[in-house]
Amino acid sequence: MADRVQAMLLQRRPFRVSRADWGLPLVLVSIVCVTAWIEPRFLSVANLQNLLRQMAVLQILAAGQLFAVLAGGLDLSVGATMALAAVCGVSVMPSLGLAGGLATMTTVGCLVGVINGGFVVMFKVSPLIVTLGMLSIAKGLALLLSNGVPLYDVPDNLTALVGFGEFLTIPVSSWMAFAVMAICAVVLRTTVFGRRVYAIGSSRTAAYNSGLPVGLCTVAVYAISGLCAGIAAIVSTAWVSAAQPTAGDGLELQSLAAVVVGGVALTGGAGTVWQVLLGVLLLSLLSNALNMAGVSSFLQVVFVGAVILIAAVVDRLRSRATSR
Amino acid sequence: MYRIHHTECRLPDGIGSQLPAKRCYSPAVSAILQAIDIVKHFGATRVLRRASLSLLPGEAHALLGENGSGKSTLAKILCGIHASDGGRVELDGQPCHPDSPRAAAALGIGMVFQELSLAPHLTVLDNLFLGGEIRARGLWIDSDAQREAGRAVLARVGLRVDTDQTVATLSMAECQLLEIAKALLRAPRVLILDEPTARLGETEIVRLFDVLTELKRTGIAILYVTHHLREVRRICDRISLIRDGRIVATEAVTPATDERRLVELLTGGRAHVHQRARRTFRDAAPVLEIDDLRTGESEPISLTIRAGEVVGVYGVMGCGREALLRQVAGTMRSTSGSMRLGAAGYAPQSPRAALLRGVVYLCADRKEGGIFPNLSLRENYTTCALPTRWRGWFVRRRAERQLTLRGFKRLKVNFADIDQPITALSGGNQQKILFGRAAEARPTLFVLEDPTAGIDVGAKQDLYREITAATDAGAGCLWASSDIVETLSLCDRVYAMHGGRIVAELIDPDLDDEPALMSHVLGISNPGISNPGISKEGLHG
Repeated sequence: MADRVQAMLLQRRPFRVSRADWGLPLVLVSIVCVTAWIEPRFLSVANLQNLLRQMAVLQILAAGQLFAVLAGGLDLSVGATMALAAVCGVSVMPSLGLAGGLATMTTVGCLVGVINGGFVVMFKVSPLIVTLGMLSIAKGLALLLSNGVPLYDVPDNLTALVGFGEFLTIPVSSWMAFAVMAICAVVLRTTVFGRRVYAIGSSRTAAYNSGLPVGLCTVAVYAISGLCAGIAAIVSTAWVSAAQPTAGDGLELQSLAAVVVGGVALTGGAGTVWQVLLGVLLLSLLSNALNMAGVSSFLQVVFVGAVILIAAVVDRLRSRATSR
Repeated sequence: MYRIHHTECRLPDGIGSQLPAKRCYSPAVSAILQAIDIVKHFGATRVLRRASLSLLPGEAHALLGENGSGKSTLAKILCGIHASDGGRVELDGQPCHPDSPRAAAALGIGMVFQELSLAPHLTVLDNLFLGGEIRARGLWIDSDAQREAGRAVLARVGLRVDTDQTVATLSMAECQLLEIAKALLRAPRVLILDEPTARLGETEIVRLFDVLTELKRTGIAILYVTHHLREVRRICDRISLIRDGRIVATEAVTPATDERRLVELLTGGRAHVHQRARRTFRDAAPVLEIDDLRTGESEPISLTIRAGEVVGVYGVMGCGREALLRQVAGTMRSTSGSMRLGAAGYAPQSPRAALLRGVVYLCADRKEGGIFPNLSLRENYTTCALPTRWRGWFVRRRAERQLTLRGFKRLKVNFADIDQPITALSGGNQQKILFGRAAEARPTLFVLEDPTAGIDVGAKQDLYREITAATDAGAGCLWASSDIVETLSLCDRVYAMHGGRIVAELIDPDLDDEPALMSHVLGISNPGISNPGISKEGLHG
C-alpha cells in the first residue's frame, strides 16, 4: 500500500507550484498576441513603458495585500491608506524636505497598518470590518488634510526621477515595484516570519496551539501591507506630480482582484508573489489592450469584473479536477 | 455459518413482508446491501481491488483494517461519496448506484463520518434536520414537529443536550452522538459508522453500543468501520478484514475468535498491545507540580509529574480533563491555585508562553487545531522547532531538510516527498509529524490530548515508542487518552478523574486495573467523596 501511495503522490506536482501554473501565463501571452495583431502600436517601447508605469502602483499594493490574504485576512484600506500617506507626505515636504516627505509617507502607511493589525489582534474583530472602517477613516482624513483638492507641491526632481525617469529603458517606478515584489518574495520564501505567515493563514488554531506568536505576526502582516501602501504613495505621487486625496479609490478592490485572479487562496495559507504578479499583469494588460482597441472605459470596468469571475471559476474547476 | 445474537428479529416494513422472521437465523438470509468486486483507483493507485462485502439485516458487521487499507474508501462508495471504478453495489438484490450522500440517504443508507460534519454555529436541532427539514406547507420549517422528533432521536442515542444549544458548545463525544442521531432521523436500513468511538470515552462507548444493539434489533444492518478489535468483540456479529484493498477474511465473531490471529492477518504480525517497562520515579525531580488549580466552578486539582514519567489522566466526558490540560497548555486561564514548572512558578498566558517555558501541546482536534493543511510535510514538521531551535531571520533550508528527514526516519513516517502537502498523508502519519514537531522543540513537558484518536495500530506503536524515548531522555508527559487499555499500558501513573476532580491515583498500573479504573471514573466506588484520596497504592509523595 505504502509504495503505491508514494507512487500516486510522486505523480502530483511538487507542492506550492500552483495549479494555475501554465494557465495564466498562456492567457497573458494570448492577450499580448491578439492585441499586437490588432494594433501593432501595442508592442512599441513607449506603450510598454506606459504599461509598466500603470502597473507599478497596483503591483506594490497587491504585494502588500498578498501578506494580509496569506495570513487569512484581507486589507481593504490599502487604497485609502495610500492616499492618506501621499497627502501627509506632500504636505510636510515644504518644511521637512523631500526625504522627510518620503519618510512620512512610509511611516504613515506603516502606522495605519499597525492600527489595523492591533484592532484585529486585540479586539478579535474580523479584518474585513477593521479595514473597512480604516478605509473610511483614512479617506476622510486625506480629504480633511487636503481640503479635498490635490496638493501640487511635489518637488520636480521626484517627478522627474520616479515619475518619468527610466533606467535601461525601464521606468524607475517599475524598478521600484519589482524591487518591492522581490523583497516580499524573499521575505515569504526564506524567512522564519514568512513561514509563520503561511502557517497562520493555513490554520490559525494550529498556529496558536503550536506556540507561534500569532498576534505579533498578524500585526506585522498589516504593517507590511500599510508600508506597501506608503511606498505606493511615493510612486503614485511622483507619477501624477500631485497628492490626490481620491487617488486610492477602487485600488483596494483592484489589489484584491489581482491577488485572487493570480490564484492565491482567499482562505489564506497558499499563494506566491509570482501569482500576484501574474494577476497584476492580467488586469493591467487587459486595461491597456482595451484602451488601444478603443473600448469605452465604462465597458472596461465590466470586462475586468468578468475576468475576475472567470478566473475564479477556472480555478475552482481546476482544483476539482486535481483533488480526489 | 452466520451467528445472529438476538433471539428476536423485528424487521421494518418492507423487509418483514418478504422475509419471515425466523429466516434471520438461517445462513440463507439475504443481504440488504452487497458490494461486489468493487474496484477503485485514485490516480494510479488502486485503493480497492475487487473488494466484496455483504450486510445482513440486523447484524453489525465490522470492517477492520489499518489506515490506508481502503476501508474508508469502501464505506464512502457505499454511501455515495465516491463512485466505484468497477464492480457493483446491490440493495435488496437490485443494482443501486447512489451518486451522493443525499441519494444514498434516500435509499436508506446512512453514514456517520469520521470527520464530523456538523455546522458549528447552528443549533443542535438545526444540525439534526439540516437538509432534511420537516416542512409545513411546503416552504416553512415546522419547528414544533422538528423539536419533537429531535428530542425523541436525541433520547434514543442518550444525548442530554438542549436542542437550542449551538453545536460549537458541545464536546467531541457529544458531537459524535449527535452525528449518529442525525443519521437515525432518516430512518436508515443500513447505517455506516466510520470510527465512531475514536473520540469517545468508555461510558459513551457503552451508551453507543446500547444504541447500536437496539438498532440491530430493529433489523438495521450496521457497517462498523474501526481499528479496535475489542469493540468488534463487544458489538459485532461478523467481521471482515481488509488489507491493501482486498477483503482478506470474513468470519463470524465468537468468543473463540483469536484476536492475535486477526491482528496478524491485518498487519502481518505486529504486536498489538504495548507494555511499558516498569519504572520508578519516586526520586526523580518534579517537572510540573499543580496545586489546587481550578477554573471557574471546577473543583481544585493537584498533581505532580516527575522527570521521565508518563502520567495519564483518565475520565469520562465532562470529568474536567479537558480544562486541566488546557490550563497546563496555556489555552485557558485558571482562576485560582498555582503551578510550578521545574523550580519556577508557571502560569502560561498562551501556548506560546508555554512553549517558551518548554511545554508543548498536541490538541485532540488534529484537523482543526494541529496540522497546517496548506503547508508541506517539511513546513508542518519544522514550524514549532523554528522559534526555539533556530536563531536569526532566515530559514536555513538545508538544515531544515536534514532535520525533517532525520525526524521522519526516526518516526517512521510513510511519505514520498517532504514537500508534498500534509493532507495527502493518513491520520497516523500526520499525527507522527505533529508529535515530531512538538518533540523538535525539546520540551520538558508534553501535553498530549487524545494523541492516538483515529490512527492505526502501526502508527500507535510508533507513537508509543517515541513517547517512551522522549521521556527516557528526561521529559515529562501528561497523557490524556480516551483509550483505557492504552492509558493503562503506557502510563507510569494514572489519575482517575470524575466530576471535575481527581478521585484516585493508580501507580504503575496494568491491564488488570481496568475494572478498578473504570469504577473510579464512573464514580461507582466512592460516591460523594470530596477528598481526592482513594487510590490503589496510597497517595503520591
